[in-house]
Amino acid sequence: MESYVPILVSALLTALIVLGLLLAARLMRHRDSPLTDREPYECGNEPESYAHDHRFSVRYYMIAVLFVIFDVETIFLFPWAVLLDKLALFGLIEMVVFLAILVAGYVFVWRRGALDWA
Amino acid sequence: MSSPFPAPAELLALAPEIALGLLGCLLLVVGVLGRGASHRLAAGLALGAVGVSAVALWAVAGEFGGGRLVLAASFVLDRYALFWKALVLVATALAVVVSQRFVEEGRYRPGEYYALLLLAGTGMLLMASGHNLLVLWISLELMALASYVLAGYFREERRSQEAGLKYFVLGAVSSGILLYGISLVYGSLGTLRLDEMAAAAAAPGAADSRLLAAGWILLLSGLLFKVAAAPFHVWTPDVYTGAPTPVTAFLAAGSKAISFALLARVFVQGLPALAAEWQLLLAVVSALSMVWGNVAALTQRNVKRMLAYSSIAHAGYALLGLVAANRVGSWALLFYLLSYVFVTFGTFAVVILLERREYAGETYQDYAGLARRAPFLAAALLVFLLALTGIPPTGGFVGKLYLFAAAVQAGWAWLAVLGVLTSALSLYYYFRLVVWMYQQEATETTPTPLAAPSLVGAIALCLLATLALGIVPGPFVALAQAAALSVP
Repeated sequence: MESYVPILVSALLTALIVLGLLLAARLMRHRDSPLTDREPYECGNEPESYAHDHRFSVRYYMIAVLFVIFDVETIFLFPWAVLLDKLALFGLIEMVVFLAILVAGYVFVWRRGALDWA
Repeated sequence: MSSPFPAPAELLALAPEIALGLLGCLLLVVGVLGRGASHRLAAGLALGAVGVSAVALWAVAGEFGGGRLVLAASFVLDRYALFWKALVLVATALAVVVSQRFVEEGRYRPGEYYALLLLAGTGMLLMASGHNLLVLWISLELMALASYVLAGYFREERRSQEAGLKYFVLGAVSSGILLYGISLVYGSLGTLRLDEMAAAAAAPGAADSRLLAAGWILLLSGLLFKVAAAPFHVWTPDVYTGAPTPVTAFLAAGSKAISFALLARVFVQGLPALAAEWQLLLAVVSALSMVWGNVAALTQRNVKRMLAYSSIAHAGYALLGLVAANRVGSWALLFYLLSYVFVTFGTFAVVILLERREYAGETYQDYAGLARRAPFLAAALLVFLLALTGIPPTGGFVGKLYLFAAAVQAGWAWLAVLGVLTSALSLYYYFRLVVWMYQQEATETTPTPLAAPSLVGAIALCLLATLALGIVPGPFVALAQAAALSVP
């Protein structure tokens, strides 16, 4: 049981800090502009209209998903590049296989038109 | 110094998986190059890929047949794995054949669809030989991710969208549960390898660990979700009804059977020390599935939905094999699922032949007068329904007989009695369909079955297999016995 004490302490501290910050914000914030407080993006400009009044193209979503996929690919490349001398030929082949599978996916999304904006 | 990397020769053991996965990716690319592959070409390529994989499997079976661990013991090739791989390839090939009409009629891109089928098949092949919990989990995910997309493939249809989304959300939750279970099991046993797990769990005192208990119960729950056993079955009716029927057939036959294979391997091979405990839990789940599946199927009016509930009930019957994983139960499970794959594909193939777009041809009424309009189809469906009920001379009867016998032998007589009683109950809803086919007249709105030679061929093959398993079960029993894993 004793080994759980640090976790308890950390949980308590986290709760305290969150509550403290919320309380501090409540005490210290300006109260002069009740309307702009409730804007989704409080940045000084009044928004033209609201986001849920519009339909967004599904392409934003597609691009975001594709970005994440290829971004993760890059993340895999970094540790591999650092350790390349130890991984030797096997690592190189392994990475080529990995990239080849990704390229197949890339060719697919490209030809399928997921990257066309118009 | 030994190299941390596998020798290329070890990778040969994965030849069937590599072939199927690679050709699946190739099909994906071919499908979008130029004007895309024609329907005929794509289906032909997909069948070819399954064929190449089958040849690779045959070669590998000769080379590694005796049971070998490769790739840091994360992959095992034994007779059990070979049995399931062969069954997976049969199921994938059947899925390609029964999908053709759906893909053509919906004007879907054939390359994409078949590539997803092949990738799901690759996941299933890997599931048959995983010997490491993480490898098993990843291969399960490979199958599941492709299945989620396939379930929602009927894009314009809301019910299919619903099926895809439900399957995805619930599948993701169950995968999370499964992964959590794996992490707890790893935490308490210190290994992910099934053989080391068995050794660690057998050590004195290890079996009493509460962490391990929480781990294996979560692991079991995640896997029971995949085999659609009650009380983890709620997704099944909606997904099976909403998904395109060829996909339903693939999920109900292939995905279910291979999930059983995985479940049996993890528990029989990895946790035999706890057999008494997990068998007790599985006995409860089996009883629940048999009762709930059969009772709920009684009131269905949609044939696909009825078959979904019946598939829950069949998960309950199949679990008997694990509950009684003594000698008989261990191979009765294999024999039963072997027959179940053919019966399920056959049944759904008949449903596909009666279907039109917008899911017409799914109610009992649509089967009115089928016996007169298409005697072969009606007779085939009759045999499949006999097999599902468990009446001779079909494989379903022999399978159930062995399962119930195994349960009695292992001291679970009440479960066997429950199984017989619920089977009798199932006679009502299966034979309601037979009554519609043989004793009602077709009306103007009754759909005419399609003339699709490839589908009729698939039905004939399933019919033949179902009857062969029932009339001359000997060689298949020997096959199942040689492949079975049993609790020592």
